[in-house]
Amino acid sequence: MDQDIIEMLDQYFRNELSQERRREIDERLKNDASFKGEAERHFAFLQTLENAGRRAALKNSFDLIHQHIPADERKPVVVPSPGFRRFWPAIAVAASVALLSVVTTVLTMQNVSETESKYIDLRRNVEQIQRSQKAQKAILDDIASKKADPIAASYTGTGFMVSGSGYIATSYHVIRDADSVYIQNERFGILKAIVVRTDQVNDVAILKIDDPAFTPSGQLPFVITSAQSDLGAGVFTLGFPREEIVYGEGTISAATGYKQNVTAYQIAVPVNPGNSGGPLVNQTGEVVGMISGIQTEALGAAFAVKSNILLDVINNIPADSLGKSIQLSRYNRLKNHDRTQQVKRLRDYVFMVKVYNQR
Amino acid sequence: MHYIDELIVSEIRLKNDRILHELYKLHFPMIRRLVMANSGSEHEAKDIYQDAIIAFYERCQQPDFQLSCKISTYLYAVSRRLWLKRLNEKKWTPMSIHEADVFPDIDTEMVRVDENEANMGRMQLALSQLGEPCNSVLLDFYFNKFTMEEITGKFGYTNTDTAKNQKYKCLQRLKKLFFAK
Repeated sequence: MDQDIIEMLDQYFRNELSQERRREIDERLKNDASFKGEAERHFAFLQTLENAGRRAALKNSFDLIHQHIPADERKPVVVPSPGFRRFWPAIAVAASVALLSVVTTVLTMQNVSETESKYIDLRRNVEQIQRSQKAQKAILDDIASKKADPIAASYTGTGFMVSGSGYIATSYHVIRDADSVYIQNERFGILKAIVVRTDQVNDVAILKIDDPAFTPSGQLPFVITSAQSDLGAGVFTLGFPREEIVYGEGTISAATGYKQNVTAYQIAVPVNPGNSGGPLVNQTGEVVGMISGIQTEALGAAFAVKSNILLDVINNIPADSLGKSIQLSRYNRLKNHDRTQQVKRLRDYVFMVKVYNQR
Repeated sequence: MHYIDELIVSEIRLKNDRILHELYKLHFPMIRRLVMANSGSEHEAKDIYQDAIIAFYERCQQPDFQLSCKISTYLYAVSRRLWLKRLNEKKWTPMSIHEADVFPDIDTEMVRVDENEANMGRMQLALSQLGEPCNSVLLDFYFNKFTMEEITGKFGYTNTDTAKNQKYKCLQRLKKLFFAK
């Protein structure tokens, strides 16, 4: 291949060509088999060269940090003793706790400009917290004692009742990969639920309480509105970023969500992992949306699925998978209450959604 | 798979070097124990371990890569195989440690690792035979992604055309060396 072609392919490889030129080459690659062969060999070679460069750079950086690894005790190591094996799990756990703390500090300290902004689901990874706590406990306590811990949920999120007959709305990403789902709050206690509908695209899931301990609670005191909310409208949410129900308030800050998604609002409401699936409620006590995620790049940018999308999902549940169609409440009984009264009424219908999986 | 491991993989994909370095520091003692318990030195442990962690790094960069086991399992299993191979080459007795910690697709993974190692070895050799300034010109352009202007300045070429010319000649020589054997 002559120099001009190499030059052109180099620019192609480095993604420096204009769209037009790129398309031209793509076209030629498609139609000219021998050109394609040569180009592919060239690219493969460049890839090998690039990898070799990266390997050298990695080894250099590894050599540098290697100095910070404490040297071995220099004892001649024989076959690992059974005693060592017994303690190995604890050592491994201790090590993973160390990395966990490093990862989290690095993540929180990370330079935000370095990567494109990310969208983060707000389900709470219980395992993450639990494991580090458990690990510390295990190291401090007697390692050998095998007390059975009560089974802890793998993930938690928030959900809220949309119908007195026992239907709960939550985020799809909260119940994704679930083996079993339980909901819990002060009024109803712990109830088993099943997933009856998911909408992955809009990040909505509908659960149904499937527990003999549950008695249907009649009409709900609040409604889910199908109207769009205005920019600047005051809103609040209730959710379970921790074991305790937490209130947060703010405003609707944009009529579209992450990446101009028209099915969501951007909201300025402080939310945390665990808030996913929580109701977003306006001043008159109507549900206007459901919390779904945050954007890492912009501080305070959170998103909520619009309530009309939520209603669509609920209304599209085929009657046969339900037995009978969902009865939504029509009358907003929170309208003339002040915020504290609204919260007091609402919190009975907001649940912690606990997801268990055996992975 | 474990959430934390997935997080690490995604951070490594984003070229988060600090995470990679912490990962490196975290698991070295495990491999050192493995190698030193099986007639190896600390230095050899470091060699083996670096190859394993680079293999892991390169796998992370592939878009289709899915973590099928814990990262520590991956590093342990690959290091162990690499060390076995090294011992075989030395005609020493194979390890006493049984394969406690493996993942299912280790065999295909090792084919990939070995292939990469061989390929990289040839490229390193070709690069060292190529000599300077060609070596640096090519790595600066293709790996460090310098622009032609930066290379012109750094190596003192009169203009970008001369630099492009040099780069082309260097690349042709490197290809010749690489494909020679």
